Amino acid sequence: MFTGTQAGAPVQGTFSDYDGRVCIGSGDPADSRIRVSVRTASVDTQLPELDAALRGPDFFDSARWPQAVFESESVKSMGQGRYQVTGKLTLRDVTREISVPVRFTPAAGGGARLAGRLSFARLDYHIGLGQWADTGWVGDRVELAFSVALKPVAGK
Amino acid sequence: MAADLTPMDRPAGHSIPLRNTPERYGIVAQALHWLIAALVAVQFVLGVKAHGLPLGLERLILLARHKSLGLTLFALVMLRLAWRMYSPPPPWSSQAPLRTAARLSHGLLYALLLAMPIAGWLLSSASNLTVSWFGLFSLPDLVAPDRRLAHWLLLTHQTMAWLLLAVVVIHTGAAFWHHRILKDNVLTRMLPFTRRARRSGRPP
Repeated sequence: MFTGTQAGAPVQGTFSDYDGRVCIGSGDPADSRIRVSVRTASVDTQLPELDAALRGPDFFDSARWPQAVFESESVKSMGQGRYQVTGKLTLRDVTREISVPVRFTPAAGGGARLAGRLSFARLDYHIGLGQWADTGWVGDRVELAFSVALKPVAGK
Repeated sequence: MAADLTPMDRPAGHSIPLRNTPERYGIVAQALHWLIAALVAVQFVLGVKAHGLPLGLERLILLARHKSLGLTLFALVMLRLAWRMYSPPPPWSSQAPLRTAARLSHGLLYALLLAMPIAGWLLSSASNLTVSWFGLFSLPDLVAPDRRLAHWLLLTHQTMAWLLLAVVVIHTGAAFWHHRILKDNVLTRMLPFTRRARRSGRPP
């Protein structure tokens, strides 16, 4: 789920189509690797016109860059199931380093839940060009919150 | 020492009293009436203009102002109703059909003036575009974002707008009818600069 602002009020949306892989090193969390990709065209704000604009060239430009990708570079344990994950976030043609605090909760059956939130400036990633670049009406800051269920897979 | 004339000190008939009298509306009711009338006109133009625009920054800004003014309008109408209770307006016509027509149209006017901002607030919530009052504070969302509900609420808000326009036309037409045909003070008692005495809406 993400939250931006319009005219000073929050506007929220979700992405329904995403995929990720978490490889946990034996014992040492610093060994873990996380890769998440989100299909940007799956954006849903319950406002069909806004969804169309978000998929369009001024925002995600889903036709040219269908995926938003996060790839971890380091994972630091902060204790009590908390980790600081640092990696590269790619939106459109921009890749920047970003650090995300996450919480890892083992679940029954070998699975787990991974949750966290991050905040970034949309213009750093060229999200909202042209008329939308005015941050007075459409805030620059975007918050992204996620909580995903991880299923164990064989191999690797 | 120069005489400092406050409205209270001035001779009666040469100034507008603060409160309503049996003869005319006071300055508070008049100010609220004309401010609300002006805002309704602005709201109508903003709403129609925004509706004709494609999604874009221009529409976002128009709608943000429309919502801020709509909330302001709601507060002013509540204030006007509260003042009406505190200081009763000049009496209705003593002729039953006129009184009923006036009561009905005024009731409808107030009902629409209060219902429209609420429908707009609901519409904003359902559209995932939370109401913000000039960027200073936001209203809580009344319903969760839902495109089907938003579609229905937009129709409701629009229908109310056209209904309000119709009632405003009737209201204005009635005021002129009173002034020109019945030659009573129904119009002038809501005007700030008239001094000419006219007989009241009640036949003597």
